[in-house]
Amino acid sequence: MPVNNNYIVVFDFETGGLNTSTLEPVQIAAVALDPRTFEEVDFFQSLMRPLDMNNLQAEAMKVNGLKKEQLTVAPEQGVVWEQFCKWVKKFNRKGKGRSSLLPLPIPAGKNIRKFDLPIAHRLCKTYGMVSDKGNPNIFNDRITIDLEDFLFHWFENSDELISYSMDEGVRPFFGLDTQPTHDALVDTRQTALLIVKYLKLYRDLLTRKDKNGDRLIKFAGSCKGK
Amino acid sequence: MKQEMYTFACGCQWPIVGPPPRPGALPLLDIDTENLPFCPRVWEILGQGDTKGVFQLESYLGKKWTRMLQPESGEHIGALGSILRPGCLRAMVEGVSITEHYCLRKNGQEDIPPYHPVIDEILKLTYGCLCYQEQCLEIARRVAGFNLQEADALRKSIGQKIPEEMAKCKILFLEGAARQKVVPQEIAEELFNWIEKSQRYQFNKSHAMSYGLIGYDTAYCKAHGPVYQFANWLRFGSDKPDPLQETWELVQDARQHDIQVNPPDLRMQEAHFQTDGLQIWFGLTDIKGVGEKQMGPIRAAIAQAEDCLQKKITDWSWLDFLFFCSAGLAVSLVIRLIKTGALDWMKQPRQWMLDQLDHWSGLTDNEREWIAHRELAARGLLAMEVLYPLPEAPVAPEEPVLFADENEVKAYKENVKKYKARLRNHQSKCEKILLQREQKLKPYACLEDALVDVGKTRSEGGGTATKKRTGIIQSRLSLLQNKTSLRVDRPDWIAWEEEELLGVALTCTRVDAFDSRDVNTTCKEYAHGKIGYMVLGVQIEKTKEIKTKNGKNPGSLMAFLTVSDSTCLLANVVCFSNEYKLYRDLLREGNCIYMQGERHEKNGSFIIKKVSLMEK
Repeated sequence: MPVNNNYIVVFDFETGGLNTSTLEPVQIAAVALDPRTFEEVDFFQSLMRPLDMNNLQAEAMKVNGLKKEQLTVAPEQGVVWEQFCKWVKKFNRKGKGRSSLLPLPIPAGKNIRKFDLPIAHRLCKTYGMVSDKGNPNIFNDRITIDLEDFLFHWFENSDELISYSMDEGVRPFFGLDTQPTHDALVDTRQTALLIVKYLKLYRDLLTRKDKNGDRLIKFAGSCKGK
Repeated sequence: MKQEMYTFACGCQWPIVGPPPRPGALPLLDIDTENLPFCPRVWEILGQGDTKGVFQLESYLGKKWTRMLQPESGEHIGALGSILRPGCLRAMVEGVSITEHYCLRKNGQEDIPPYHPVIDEILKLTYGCLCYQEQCLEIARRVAGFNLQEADALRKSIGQKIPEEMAKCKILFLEGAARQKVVPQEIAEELFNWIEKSQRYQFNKSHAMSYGLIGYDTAYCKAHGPVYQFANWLRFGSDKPDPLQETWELVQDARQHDIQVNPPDLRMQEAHFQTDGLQIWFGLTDIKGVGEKQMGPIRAAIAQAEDCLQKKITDWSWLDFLFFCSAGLAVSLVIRLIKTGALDWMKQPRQWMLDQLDHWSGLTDNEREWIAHRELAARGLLAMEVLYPLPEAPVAPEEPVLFADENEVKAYKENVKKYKARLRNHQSKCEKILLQREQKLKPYACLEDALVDVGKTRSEGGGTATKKRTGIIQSRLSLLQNKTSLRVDRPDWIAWEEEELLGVALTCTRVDAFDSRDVNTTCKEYAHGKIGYMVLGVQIEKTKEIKTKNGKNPGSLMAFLTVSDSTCLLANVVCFSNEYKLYRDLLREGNCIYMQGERHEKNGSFIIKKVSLMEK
């Protein structure tokens, strides 16, 4: 397998509800990470005007801190989604010397499998960003990086993390700024920071060598262990 | 009148038939390619292994063995055509290939073992190596008394490898040798075996010499007119099996020769690679996905816009191109032009231009036309009467001479009523339009200003047909005005897109995105012979891992690498096993690294001592 050359796009929706099938997305923020250096190379952020302002739930709006007046003048959902998809497409990778299983960027975030990706897929289908078979085609559909998985791996044998919630558990534990910013891009960057921390940890573990230059972690079928 | 001659540094002289295309370039010369002189400069570049573009010697093997051989004559360059073939490379004598024997003996590094005076004379020009089929014919003629026809029959029989035929040939050869008594019978037998084995790798000399002649011609042109030669090779690179790869190799080689190769430039409107004698530019059809058929629409769109704007493309701003030229071209074409730098002369980031194009393309044809006309009017190039034409006045209903009945009277009165309403409406519209004609229009400073204007409905004086369109345009405007993403060009993005569309990164490389303060040597400086302890900042193009057979740790892994920076490619980088064990994970294709090391004394390879990832 070649090394990964697919960009990683960490993204997050702020929404006016909790049901991914019916909620109104009101904001999207994303950062793109270079697959070799994990550096942030670009970002995307925008408010999105809901299709139905009456569909906004007060509790959800309290969480995201946005006001209806802001959303009334925000760009239309369809236009924003089209722009976001074009932005993501900039990070598609094809061509010789950069083989990947699928050239599309890898989606990443916190709880994106259950929350953000279903919303993204719904929007793709609504606005026609689908393949010939009708499947959403902006992200790599084989690999997903979810911070929830990492949190489990880190803490499944520990009770140090009091909560998987960013506000209550994750930010304080990892020393991130806990002041509510109501800024989706700041939140996305914090998520990206933790994802990069985890990925770098794995890279370091797999390549760490002893004083003789031999790998510390070896596998039976791998000549790379020599 | 005496013809003025141009004299090269090597002493070659050719008549001048025209001035140089620009100061500093070669003048136009009348070079007789049928009568090229013997030029030491040609042997010099061949001896350096500088064989890209040289007929039959372009490959890795051609480069390597030309450098080993150090050809100095037509005989040598012709022989390369024979000894480079796989058969010769695999044919071993005392553990060394025929090819290597030839090179070593030519350079006096190996003695030519005498065999027999007759054979030594036949093989004199090839240093005792049996390289050519013609030499076999000569041996058959001199040793076995064959005439040339019989000798050629012998060659064919052996070549067909039919055991019965070969047995017959052997008998005839030995009988002939016995009659001629030129060599003892044992030597005759040995010679026949030698001929039999050599059929596997021999080439015919006439072919080899023809190839050598063309090889010399191409090397001569490369030595004396490299810019023109590279432009030609690039032009014909599209005929190669892998045009993008060919382009990449040629541009890397051109860089080694200090020839600048530039991205395409829309202002030139050239379809193919072209040169001004000092630099080379990509043509528009050298962009992947842009074909000859698109040149017509490109030139037509430019001509039309120049006519409209009354100024040449060289004086255009970004808005001039966007409003007046891009509409005549497919969006995908314009995207390729932007990504490859064909519009860089507008001095705007490519990502920014793509973003602007995207929003412009999101308008309808009518909206784009509205903006274009308004802009022309603002510049005084379109009359306000044309921009704001008065609507046609409603036609009054014709009064019949005689009404048939009461219904007709009623209908007529109704029509008159409607007509009067339409007339009032028409007058109101005309008043508004006349007011619009009075306004002093300013040219748009940016696309955002144009979207503000066009985003109003027609009744409000804008260019959109419906409120829905107004909403969409306002959304686009909001996205343009707010910082939704970075619209700056990252070096790695530019390099990536240029590699995809042109085959090679021209404007910058991925390495340019990193901190180069610790770098003390470029690839080109190294290629030009710099010595000492060096630190290079490079991108790894290729890593070839092999298991060592000899040395301190036989069976361990080492690697040969090809790396590059913005100056050129370096193909002879070596990481021995001790260092490879430490740095293997960093030496992956695509990684940008600092590599520290020294030049190998004998073969000039860069020997890696230390590696670290480049940082920003």
